[in-house]
Amino acid sequence: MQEGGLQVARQKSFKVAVVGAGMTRFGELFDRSYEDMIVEAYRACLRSVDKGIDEKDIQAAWLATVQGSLIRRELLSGTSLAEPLGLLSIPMTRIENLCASGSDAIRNAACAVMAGLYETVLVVGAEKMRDVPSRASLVANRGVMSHLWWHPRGATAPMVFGQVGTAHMHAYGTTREHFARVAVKNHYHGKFNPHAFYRFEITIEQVLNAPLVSWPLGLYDCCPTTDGAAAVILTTPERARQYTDRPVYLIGTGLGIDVGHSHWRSTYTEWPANQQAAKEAYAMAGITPREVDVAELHDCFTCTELVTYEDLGFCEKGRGGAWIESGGPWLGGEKPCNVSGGLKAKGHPVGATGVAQACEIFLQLRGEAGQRQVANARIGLTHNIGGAGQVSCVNIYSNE
Amino acid sequence: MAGIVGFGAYVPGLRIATKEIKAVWPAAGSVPGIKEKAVADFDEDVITMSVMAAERALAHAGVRAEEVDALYVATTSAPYEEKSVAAVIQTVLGVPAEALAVDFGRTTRAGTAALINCLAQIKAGEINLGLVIAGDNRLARAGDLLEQSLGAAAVALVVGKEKVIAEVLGTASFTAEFTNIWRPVGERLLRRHDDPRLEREYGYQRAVVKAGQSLLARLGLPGTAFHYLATAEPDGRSIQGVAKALGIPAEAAGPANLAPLVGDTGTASPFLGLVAVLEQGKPADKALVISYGSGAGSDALAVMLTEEVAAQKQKALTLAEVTREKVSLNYPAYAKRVGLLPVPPALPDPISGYLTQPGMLRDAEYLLGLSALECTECGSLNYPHRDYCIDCRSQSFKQVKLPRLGRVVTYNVQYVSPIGPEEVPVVVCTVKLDGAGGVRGGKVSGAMVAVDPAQVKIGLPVELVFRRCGEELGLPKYGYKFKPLPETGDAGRGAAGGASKEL
Repeated sequence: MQEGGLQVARQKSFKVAVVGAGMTRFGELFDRSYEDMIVEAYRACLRSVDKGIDEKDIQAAWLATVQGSLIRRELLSGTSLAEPLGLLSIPMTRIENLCASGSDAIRNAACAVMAGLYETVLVVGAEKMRDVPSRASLVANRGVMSHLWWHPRGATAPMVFGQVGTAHMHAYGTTREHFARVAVKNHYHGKFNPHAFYRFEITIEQVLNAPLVSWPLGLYDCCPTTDGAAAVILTTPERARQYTDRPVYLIGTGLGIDVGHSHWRSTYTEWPANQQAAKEAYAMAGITPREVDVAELHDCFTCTELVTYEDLGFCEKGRGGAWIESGGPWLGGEKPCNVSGGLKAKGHPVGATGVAQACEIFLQLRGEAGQRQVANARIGLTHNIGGAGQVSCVNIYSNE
Repeated sequence: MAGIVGFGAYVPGLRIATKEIKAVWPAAGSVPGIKEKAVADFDEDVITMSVMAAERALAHAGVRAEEVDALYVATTSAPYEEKSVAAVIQTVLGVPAEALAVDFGRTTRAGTAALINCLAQIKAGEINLGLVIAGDNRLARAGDLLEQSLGAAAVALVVGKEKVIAEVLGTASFTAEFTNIWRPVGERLLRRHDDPRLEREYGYQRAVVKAGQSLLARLGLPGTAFHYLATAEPDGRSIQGVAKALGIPAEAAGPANLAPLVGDTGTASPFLGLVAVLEQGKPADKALVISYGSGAGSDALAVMLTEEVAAQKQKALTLAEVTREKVSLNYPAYAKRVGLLPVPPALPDPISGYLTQPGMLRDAEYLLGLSALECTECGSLNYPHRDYCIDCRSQSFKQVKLPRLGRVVTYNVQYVSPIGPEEVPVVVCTVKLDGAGGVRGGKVSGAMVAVDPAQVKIGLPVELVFRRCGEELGLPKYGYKFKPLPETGDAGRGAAGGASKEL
């Protein structure tokens, strides 16, 4: 089989500025429509631009939304962004790449800027998850590619991620308690984030004693079903100075792909798509995992974050459990992960998640994250996994 | 010589004891001689049972499905009022589409009618090899007397001219309109007149004995010439009355007296008895097989065991093996499985159309018939089919049949199940198939049949079994589930007699 994926030709030359980032609070936003959330995130993003921005500067936009096909709410593609914002004269493209859509939309927008097609572009991620009962949302959806005979809705996200948890426990002696520590950490971090859905702490015992969803995953091992939207504005490094003296730069991006059918995966203790995306992004940014100061990881389930530590090279293979036990990914630890609260405490409105991760890194690298600020953060990483590891997107940001 | 070449039976593992039912409905009366009855689980029906029985019969006869010229399926409990049951079974088994595929039904007499028709086709030289399947999963009203007796089972018989283990000596019929049990259009549960004695004496006894007497007269044999009697069994005792009336020794009715353990399995009932006879009998033994349907009548067949019966014996999956695994249900658990206690719908269904109509056209062969592609470059088993090998990108494949045995690679236990009506927890696993090549390929995934999750571990040997996998728009869907196997390393353990590789 083909090895290594895309060979990036122009290492270290990739540099796109982020000059604005804003988001709604994530949660059960029953009083706000999909369009309301887009507008709220967009306005917050405009407000965050230090020297202000003329909306006419925005030459193109990308929208990340998955739910359109998941619950048939939103099927109007780029128009869903153009109409609520009244931006009817610029090109808009919708990206749907499972839960990695937000990061991939940023990646695609940045590639257009790098190509010189546009200078200043907008990326919005939005998802309305809670217009259906929470159990009918991602719990009931959907694994058409994952199950052969049993009803395809039998292959839910907790199922396919749970199978990785089981295999990791079997191979490395990882325990449910190790997974629980991820939830405990992210709830602790979420307490400091005004945009987070859950802002309270939980204990390991609470996680272990919660009702089981898909053993080895219990209720507190799973991220909640939330609504939300987030937006960022990208531009060239040259143009960025017009908007702010403190831009953040996207300096590396990688996208990994793996088989669709879960039974065709080559391994159940790691995600090759993660490794492929990380390898590409690190090479493009010209850094090693060691240089990452702060990371937003895709903790849709606790075991996902733990295995991702290993895939991204934050710790050795099989040592994810030991690493969290040592405090490595905690605020104040060796390499803080999900100081925003992550998907677990902040929430996971699917298409918005990757864009919201970029919002957090924007704050962190500008030193504006308040109580959850990682000291002297220079390099930040966002990681979005889509499906059950069918796709993974890693973006690397720097404040230099 | 035309006769039976091989046989297979399937009895679901679930049982309910008569005393459980009588504890809930003490005024219902008693069906004589029934201790417990077999109950189909949520994911079993007459189609899944028929497939299991047929796979066993084909394995026992040593014939491939491709050799079958005609498929006869007899049942009164088809999951559709209109649509062929034989067609789905034909697809699953891999019986050629060009074969005759016939549905017999409407009465529990249908199984013998199918067998007699199949024999006639063979004798006429129209076909060489036929497969006759008789199965039932009849349901009674809560508290009705029939609730104590109606059981679930299926039996398949391979019928042909060569290597016959039981030659059919002759047949006779007796048709009777006298009706005590019926099921109107649009209803799921049987109705009956409230006089069990009348049914026993003027319905069952009269038709069965008349058909038997007619056959004895036609063959010029006395009842004492028969070593075995296998009849439809509406209860646990009636078979003895038939033996007495036909002058057959009482002990000849013993081996086929299975109703006390599985209940009245309807269309399958006389054939289930025949299977017991074929397992126990010696060459030259004679057996009388008589069916019965209320408001229908009876067919009688006389068979004589041949020298082949001994040779084929070790290949047979015995009734004892078929009924070995038993799980006893309490009344509410039973009531859910037979639809007397409605199971609330599963989670709302935001997506419909898993098997779209065109999808069915494209996918039936591989989803139901288990056809897979094996890469001729790297050996990887690609299931479902791919044009580029999932492991090496080669475009060169040969078509094979998916192996049926494997081991668990990883699993999870679903406590929130998005589908019904299976009860949580449901174990879902990824399985590496025995002898199947590939790093990515060679694996399948799906649900396990109802098991205690504590018994599941990585490396557990499992077998693929054919089950119901939900339904949509009232149309049941079928597929495969995993059933744990004892850790013996014996590759021949599976229901289908192990993995058949070449297609």
